[in-house]
Amino acid sequence: MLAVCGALAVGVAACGSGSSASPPRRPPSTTAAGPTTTGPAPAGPAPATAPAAASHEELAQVEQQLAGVPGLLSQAQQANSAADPDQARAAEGG
Amino acid sequence: MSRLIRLLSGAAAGAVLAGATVTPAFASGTGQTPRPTLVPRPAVTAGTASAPACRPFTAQRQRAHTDVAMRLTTLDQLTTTIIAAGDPYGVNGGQRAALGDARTGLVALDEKIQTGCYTDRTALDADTRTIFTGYRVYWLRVPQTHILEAADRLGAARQTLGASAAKLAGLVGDNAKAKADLAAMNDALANADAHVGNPPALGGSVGAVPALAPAVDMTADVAALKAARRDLEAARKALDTARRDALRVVADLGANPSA
Repeated sequence: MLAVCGALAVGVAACGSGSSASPPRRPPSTTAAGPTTTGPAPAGPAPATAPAAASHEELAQVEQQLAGVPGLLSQAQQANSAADPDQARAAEGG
Repeated sequence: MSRLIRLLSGAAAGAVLAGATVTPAFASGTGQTPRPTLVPRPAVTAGTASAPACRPFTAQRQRAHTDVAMRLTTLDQLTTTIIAAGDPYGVNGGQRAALGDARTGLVALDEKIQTGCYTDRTALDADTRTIFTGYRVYWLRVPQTHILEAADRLGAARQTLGASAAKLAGLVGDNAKAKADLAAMNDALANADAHVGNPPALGGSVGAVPALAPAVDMTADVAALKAARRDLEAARKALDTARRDALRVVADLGANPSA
């Protein structure tokens, strides 16, 4: 990565992202001239892989959400156990 | 509270509380077995033949104070419980108010018992009985509060599972197995809703619990509490089923579920 970055004349910004998984960024246009630095982004592997990565991330979020449910259900069960009116009748006395 | 006020005013005519400076006498004749106590003839103070003397009844007053103090402690604990439970159904404010009203009423009743003039045991018995029948701290407020607490926990779980189902619905695409498991999850959620309701709508027999009030005859209250507990358990099982279905959907879509 360093070698690649070092080989780029204006690659400081791209290497500065610190993410090896990120697709190489095109350096910002620093000169007015040079038609190759403008125009639509080139079609590469990133658009094809992004949805799959997003789905995986969302699934992980769902799993994380679901991880809290057993605790809530357990608390509910304990509270319901403490709500036995027959035991409550004995405690009431009178 | 209004019930208690009606009880108070209804019983006032039948009670004799010479020198009482607080509220009228509480209802007697609640149908409960009276304490096996001797009812002495009122003492007569010399020179005031028409005014029976106040009697100490020290032991009974002390016992009443202990009973009230226990209930005040319990009411405070219940208030802490309901505050900590969250409020996905929006009913806890009413429960907190009911607990607070009970506390206020019991404090006033204790003061009346401790400082009032009782010329015979009948009136004191009626007041001490009201500690139980007028407030039902243990027979009603404890199970009622815990039922609402349980509903709150299930409501929070329902909200989480509902959000998960919505997210998964956008991910299943054409995956037939994932779609089938998601449909099963939604069926389980609907089943849970039938028993406890989908927040903020409290449903099933649990929906009747917030309105339950202390009664001398607790038959109806107990039936409502028991029905609510059955619904809570059914909802809990349905939500657990929904959670498992959700994990299946995640697995169908290629994740690595942990359960």
